[in-house]
Amino acid sequence: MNSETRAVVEHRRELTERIKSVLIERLDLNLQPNEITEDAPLFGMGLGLDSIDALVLIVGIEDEFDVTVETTDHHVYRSINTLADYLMATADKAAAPSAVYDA
Amino acid sequence: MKEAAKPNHGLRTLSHGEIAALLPQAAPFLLVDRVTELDPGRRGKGIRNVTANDIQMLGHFPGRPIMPGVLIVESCGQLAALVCATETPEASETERNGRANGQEEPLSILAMIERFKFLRKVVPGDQMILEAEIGKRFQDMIRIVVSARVGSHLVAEGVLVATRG
Amino acid sequence: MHKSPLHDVFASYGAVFEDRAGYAVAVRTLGAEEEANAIRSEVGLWDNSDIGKIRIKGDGARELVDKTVSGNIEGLPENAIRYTLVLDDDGRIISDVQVYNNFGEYLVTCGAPRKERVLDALIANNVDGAEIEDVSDKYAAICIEGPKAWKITALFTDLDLRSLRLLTFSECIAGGTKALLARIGYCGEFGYMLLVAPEAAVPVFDELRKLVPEAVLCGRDIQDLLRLEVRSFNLEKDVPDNASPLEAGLHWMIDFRKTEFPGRERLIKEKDDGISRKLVAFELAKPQAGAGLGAVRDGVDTVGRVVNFDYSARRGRTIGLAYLDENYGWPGVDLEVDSEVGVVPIRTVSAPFVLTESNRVQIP
Repeated sequence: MNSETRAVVEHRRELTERIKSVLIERLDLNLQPNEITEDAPLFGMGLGLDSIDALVLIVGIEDEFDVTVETTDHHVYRSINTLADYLMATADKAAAPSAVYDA
Repeated sequence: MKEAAKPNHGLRTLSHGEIAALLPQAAPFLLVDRVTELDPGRRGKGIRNVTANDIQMLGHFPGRPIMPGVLIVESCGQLAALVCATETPEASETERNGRANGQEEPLSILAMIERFKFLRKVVPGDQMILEAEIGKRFQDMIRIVVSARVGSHLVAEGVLVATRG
Repeated sequence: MHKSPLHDVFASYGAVFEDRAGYAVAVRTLGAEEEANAIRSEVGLWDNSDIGKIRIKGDGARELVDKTVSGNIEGLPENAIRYTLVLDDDGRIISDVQVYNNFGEYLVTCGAPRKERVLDALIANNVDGAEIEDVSDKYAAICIEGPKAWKITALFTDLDLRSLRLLTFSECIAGGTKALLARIGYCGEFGYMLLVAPEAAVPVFDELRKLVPEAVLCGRDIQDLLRLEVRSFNLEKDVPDNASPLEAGLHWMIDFRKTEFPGRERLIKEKDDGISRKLVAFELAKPQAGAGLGAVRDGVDTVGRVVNFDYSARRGRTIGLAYLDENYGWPGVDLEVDSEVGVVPIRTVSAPFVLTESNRVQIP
């Protein structure tokens, strides 16, 4: 594995763990980190969270990562992976591209 | 008859009559007596006078009237509703996730009590100074940080999420 | 061969049929592009009548269903649907199922080829006071999906579609007939499944087509691509070689707090030990089609294998899912895949591949 790939993987692993912590703590979920799929929808299907949970999650993400999340951009908080995409894109311009962020 | 919210550039206070016109609640459940400072859509400060004649005090408790915590929550929520009801259309447009039918219902339904602490008893004769600061918005919901003081004492504080009825 | 009550309607529309588990299924109508465009931009209608439908009733019904599936049924509210799994004792997937709580009576639906095994699983877990009945032939099932699927609301005399949240259902009157409408959505759009008595299927279907004249009749096969675009679980493709549901990323279909269900022991162990491979979404790095995708490589090393792929016009390239070694199983990694034309570059991504029209609306 080359060093660039290793860096991307480590960064995502770390971001994912932190996002899962915010999710579990702020929403008081009765789940362990290894019981949550990164790519599954958080709302509707998947984890089945509701819109109040969405608000609480967004506030938690903003606090933990010191960012602003536009609540109208539903795609950002669709899953843990999309949240991680957003955080990487916001914090690091050379972040990994995702399915819908590159043209 | 309730009037629609009017644009309120530079409005600083609200009288009881204006409060009654803006909120869907009515006696005996109109729990903000006056708004003393108002930054529409952002924050506000108001007053709730607590009296032995309040209907809820008769039962809570007989012979020992204490303002129920949940009604302190409601007072704070109503102040927040007033802060939002007086938003200018321009300010609310940029912050709102628009509803399909364009209709604006008043912010009058509690969606969540995220956390709340009741630090001191509130009794007849107290004048509660309420404060509400509008935080994050999401779809029709608004997150609000609130507090209540009596004199120099903080009697309650918390975070609510309210939505449009 | 079994035929759907809607067979002739689809036949005269020009549908191509194939024998799937002894049932004549309309697999294709106007062609992949038209069918996909219909479901993604307007409304598509397709016939789901062959799906397995099992009714469980009696005092022991909830207990039986809860014991048999991996998800939580004890806490499933009335009129709600749980999308979950039936696992074998080894924790391998027998079928994905949808469980409907119809006021203490349960309806379990699954793909037709898996129905017998799901029935066996229920029978094996049977409890006193629970009656299991195969009602597959008692209902026709019409699927309606697309951003304009809400237009069907006029079909119902007593139901406001806006009140039907995702993964809930309601008994209702459709075109004068008793029916059951579920809001599910297979492909990430507004999606409904309408269950009616077989004799009412044709009249109700005709009524639907009158209400929504722009609706396109679709075949079954376009589902594979549309589900892939939003990474909806595909039982036939996503879990080859006895893959674990955890490797496939189906944690959300499992209630880990439940103390008893088939396969629990192995799943808990896999979870605690950590899984060594993950099913990850990827796409070709360049906007092109790819064929014969196989081994995934990082330079000289083989790090995984593609299990599900197709060309997505909406994404402008071939997309897919691959099992990758865990240390590669994260979005944003540049790799390569073997294809018909040699090794081509790919990159791993976050789902969904396609942002659907229906998803640009409020969270339910």
